[in-house]
Amino acid sequence: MLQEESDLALIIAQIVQKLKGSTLYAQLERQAWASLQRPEIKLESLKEDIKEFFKISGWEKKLQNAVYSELNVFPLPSHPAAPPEHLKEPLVYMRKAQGSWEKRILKSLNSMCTELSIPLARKRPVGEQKELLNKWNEMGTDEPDLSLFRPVYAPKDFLEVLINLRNPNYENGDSHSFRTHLGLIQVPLKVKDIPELKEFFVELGLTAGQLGIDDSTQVPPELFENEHVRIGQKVLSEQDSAAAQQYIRQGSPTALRAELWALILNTSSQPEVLLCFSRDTSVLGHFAYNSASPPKSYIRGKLGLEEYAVFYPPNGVIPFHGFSMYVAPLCFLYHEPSKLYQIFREMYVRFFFRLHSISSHPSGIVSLCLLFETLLQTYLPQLFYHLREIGAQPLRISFKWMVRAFSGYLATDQLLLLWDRILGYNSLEILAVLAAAVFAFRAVNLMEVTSLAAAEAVLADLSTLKVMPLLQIFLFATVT
Amino acid sequence: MSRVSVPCHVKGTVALQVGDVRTSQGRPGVLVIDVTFPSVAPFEHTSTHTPAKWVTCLRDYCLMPDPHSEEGAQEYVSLFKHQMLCDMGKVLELRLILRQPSPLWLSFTVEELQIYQQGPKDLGIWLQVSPTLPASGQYAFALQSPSMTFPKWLSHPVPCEQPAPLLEVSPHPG
Repeated sequence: MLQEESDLALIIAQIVQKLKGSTLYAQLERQAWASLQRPEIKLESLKEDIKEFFKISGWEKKLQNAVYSELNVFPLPSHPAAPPEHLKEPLVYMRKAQGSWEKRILKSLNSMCTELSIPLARKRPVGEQKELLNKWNEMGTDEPDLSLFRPVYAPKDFLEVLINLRNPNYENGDSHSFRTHLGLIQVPLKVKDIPELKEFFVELGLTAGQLGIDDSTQVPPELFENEHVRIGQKVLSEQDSAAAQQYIRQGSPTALRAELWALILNTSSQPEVLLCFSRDTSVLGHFAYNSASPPKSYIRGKLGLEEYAVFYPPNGVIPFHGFSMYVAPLCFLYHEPSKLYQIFREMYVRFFFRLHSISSHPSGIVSLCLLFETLLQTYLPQLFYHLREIGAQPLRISFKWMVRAFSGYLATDQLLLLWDRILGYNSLEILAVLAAAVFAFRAVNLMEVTSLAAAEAVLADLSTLKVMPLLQIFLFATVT
Repeated sequence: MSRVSVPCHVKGTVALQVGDVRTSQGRPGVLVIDVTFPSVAPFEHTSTHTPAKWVTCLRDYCLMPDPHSEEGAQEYVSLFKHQMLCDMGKVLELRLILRQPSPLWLSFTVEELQIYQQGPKDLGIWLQVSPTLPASGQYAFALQSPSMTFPKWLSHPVPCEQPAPLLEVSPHPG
């Protein structure tokens, strides 16, 4: 069909354009030149011979992985008439809301700096530079005094903004009717229902093996685990990004996880990535200021401590209280700072940024909140109603879990199993499903509470939860 | 092959509603937008010409997959000649019939309507309809086209008249 052909041509052109600026392109060019020395490369069939060489040497696979990565991350080419902001966010009122939120944060940040008389960015004095170079590898043990700094904003401030989001063209009457949503989110975004979620997360079904369930001690490893590990090793040896993403939907073996994530996120092993130590402008480029210290200061035993949530704004958003929680779990997987940084950066630019910016994207925090509330309301109506009645809107409790992708709330091994699926499905929707599943799991206790504080107490400790059984039961084993 | 925009004049939307618009409580669910082409010579009723008639060129074209949710609400859409059910060679007037069955929206319409022609010989038309405020699920286009041949559409590349892109979302009177 004419339209699809031209769409495909446009996508190809866009990807080629993007890859032309990459290291991979330079490498492929070099390899192609070098291959001319090889006996099997003949002038008459130059193109075919070089292609064959790329295939055998694994360079074709690298290119495939890069293309796959681009397809996953970047939005499809937009309509020629659409302005660039439309690509970032198609709905005008959402763009406006994000704009005002950013202004608010910047204002808050600037006033804090004025109060404390600290510039946001300055050139490091020579003495300090020398000192830094000397202790480069032990940065984590050097503790700057951050006691005067307070977090720029907390998740609950952000939640208030989301609660007040309205489409001016929508029926936002005060009186409750079929039009108003019973939850906190009042924008009519499209979210999946359980039948659609079952289809989307089909590999999590009862008939498929899962790491996090079928690798428990009672289950003989011959039934699933051994074979799954073997397949994982094969996927790694083939260095196939797409296969890895499909594979990881059933969970990653601990020993293979670091490599699998790197393969899926298509991080390179190039030394120029050490740009992170010279203020990575590819991520921070559009900022008015640079971060005061490199992310390396999270390692060496300082994980997750709130006072080390450094002002580190990738993608234009200032970190909130608890931002370091996105990095902390990664420190268990990657010990080499450059690898750790790359993985974190990729995870952030693919997924985590959506958790604290206002957009209509299906993996954006607004959609996740609405998905959570809708799931709860539809499949646990009594619980939802009860919690509303006692002034404990469920989203007020689950918001902090979702905004941090459950980091800091689940046990680390469980969190990594959850993040496996985020990578595998290229979506954050699983966070909303898990949040609903947790409420379903503790429904009996929650039905007995009579205040928000008591509800919070029931849901305060998630560290003993096993995520995969919870998800499976909620999606596949609950009578709907 | 380059495309050239065809000057068009978009008339105001007309709501189709049973009963009195002012007193009735419900909001209209059907809007009609007529588009005329200033570069086309006005049609003359003479006995030597067969009368022009309305022809449906696109039927039930869905713009928003779910009328109650935001999906596709402010998307840019292109419609092409090959999607049309009839020959678009001799078009006098275009009528867009928008349907929005959901009562949740205060208003709906299409904006930034642009019509293009591919090359001077090919009298195909395509429409660019964007952005659509929560607009209807369906379109039915009707055409009026007399049997006489037309001079070439492209006499001068005049940029087509567009309504100012409405970035502010405000309710339109029906």
